[in-house]
Amino acid sequence: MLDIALDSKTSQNAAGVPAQSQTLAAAPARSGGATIQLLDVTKTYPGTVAPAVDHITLEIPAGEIVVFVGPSGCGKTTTMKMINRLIEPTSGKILIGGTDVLKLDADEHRRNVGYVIQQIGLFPHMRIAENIGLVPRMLGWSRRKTAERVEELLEVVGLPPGEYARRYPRELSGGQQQRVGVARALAADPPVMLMDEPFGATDPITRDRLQNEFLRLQSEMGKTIVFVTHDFDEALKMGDRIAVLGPQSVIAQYDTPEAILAAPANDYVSSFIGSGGQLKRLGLMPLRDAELRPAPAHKDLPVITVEATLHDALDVMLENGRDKVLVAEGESGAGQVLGSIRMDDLMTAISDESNDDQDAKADASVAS
Amino acid sequence: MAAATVAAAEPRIGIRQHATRGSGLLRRWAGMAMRPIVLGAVLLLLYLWVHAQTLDSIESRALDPQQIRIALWQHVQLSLVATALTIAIAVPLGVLLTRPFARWIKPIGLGLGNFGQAIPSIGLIVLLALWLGTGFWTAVIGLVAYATLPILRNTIVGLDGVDPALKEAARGMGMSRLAVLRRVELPLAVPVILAGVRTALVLTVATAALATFIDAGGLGGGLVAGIKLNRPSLSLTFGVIAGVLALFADWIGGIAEEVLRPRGI
Repeated sequence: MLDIALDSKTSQNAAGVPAQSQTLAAAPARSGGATIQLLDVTKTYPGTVAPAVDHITLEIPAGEIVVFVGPSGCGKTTTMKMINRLIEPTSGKILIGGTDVLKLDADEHRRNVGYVIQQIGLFPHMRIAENIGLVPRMLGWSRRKTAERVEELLEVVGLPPGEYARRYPRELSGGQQQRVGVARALAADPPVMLMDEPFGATDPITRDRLQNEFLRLQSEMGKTIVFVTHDFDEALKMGDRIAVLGPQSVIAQYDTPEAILAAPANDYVSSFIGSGGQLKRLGLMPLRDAELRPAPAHKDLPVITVEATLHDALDVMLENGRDKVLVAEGESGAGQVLGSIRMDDLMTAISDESNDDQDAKADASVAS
Repeated sequence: MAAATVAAAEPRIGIRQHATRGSGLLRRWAGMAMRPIVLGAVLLLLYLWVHAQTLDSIESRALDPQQIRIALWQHVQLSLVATALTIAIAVPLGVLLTRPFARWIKPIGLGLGNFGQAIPSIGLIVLLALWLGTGFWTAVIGLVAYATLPILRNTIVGLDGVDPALKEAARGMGMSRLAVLRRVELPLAVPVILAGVRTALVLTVATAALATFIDAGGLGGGLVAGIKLNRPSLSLTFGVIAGVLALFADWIGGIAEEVLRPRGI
């Protein structure tokens, strides 16, 4: 079960790589993503004794979204900012694609790392096109190539260039501004992106939409993304892997969302997951990957789309007072019926995955 | 799908903002166009009044159009040169004092500016003349010392007022410190800096009337002569012209603020 769930994400990435070279053909040297390695990285601010980040070692695999999640002040943002050297580490090494970034020119390095912040930070005196084109221009792209890239990116984030390119940031809604913020970070097609609570300042509906759009985009791009949030549910949704960080950025657990929910490493992680951990696990299991039973003959059962999760299926069962639902194709389940699923299947799914997870843990190569 | 509908619905908000801003702008411009008309009317009234008077020989010599033109030109020269020098000194100083490495000397810089403005301008100009001798450049130095504070203070306030998130975004995308200053901080501080320039300009035009005490010319000459020779018509004429000039300078400053303000903010 775990393998299936993981595969669904990675196979999306794998399928996305060739597509990416087509849709983003305007710029050279398209790289999907690059591995980020933090080796024994420490940050101690001058005048303080206790380090803000204490000897963190972490490998972020190429093409994955790794979420740093932890309470405010735990050093997650500091850790992230050391990757683009907005904060210089006191000691340790940071490698991106094998290159020691601490040896590079800091400004040069930052141009090759996408950066999205919660406050968005669009420059109010520059038009949208100018905002997005800043990094390509700094990298020496021609005006024409930059303009083409800007148009392409505005299309990608769902803002028609004809309508938006010449506007000023003030003339856009918060959600639209953050789309531009993402486009700006993607402008020079950096292999690595850092996102600091990027959707934190938007309302829940807009946030959900931005998250979904971003995941769709990422499935095509396959960037290596470090995503910082204090919201564990957002971490579950966005992360291929989650690093649960404690004070001084000490890694409490670093694993896939499924594995963390199935087996929290300690009480700290459990407290972060909060209640309803098993329900959240169901929410990470797509019906498409579940083993369905043949559809029963009588058709008066509630129907659910195959695009939903086991959590949604449980919800429909509870809502209708039934212990099984039909699973069908189509967005609202109006298409061909694929089979059915029963309450005990959900329980089996949860316990199966827990067992799988114990095995997987044994040969997990991820450092923590 | 949903994103597309939102995108389609939101432009209207943008357009409405545009519209209200547009009419507001129109009203502002209309208000601005009134100023020179009123000032012109004041000068016309002054001209008619002077013509209605019977002038004695002293008055008619002092109120000779040629004399007035020379005094006016001197006054304008003093004010412009002094303001230009003040900008050239105060803006870079303000930039310097807002850099992280110079934070500790900021109070000292502001203190010097306060000092320049706090000492009575007439005293400053006379003291400078005792030290440097009389003449145009001494007057300019006095005026610069006097007008530095508003520009320095506004440059510092304007630069400090730039949203730190914007500076971080700029640094994070790979702009050098100099590029952040040039492309983000200064453009965003322009409205505040210009407000300071406008204040300084008006202050300079008004204070330049004192230049006559150290033989640097200007409209102050006629004003003082009127008092000394007991000819109120002289004082009134030069006083009104100096006042009109100050208001005109303020008007020019207002237009500069409107034109040079970056669009989008």
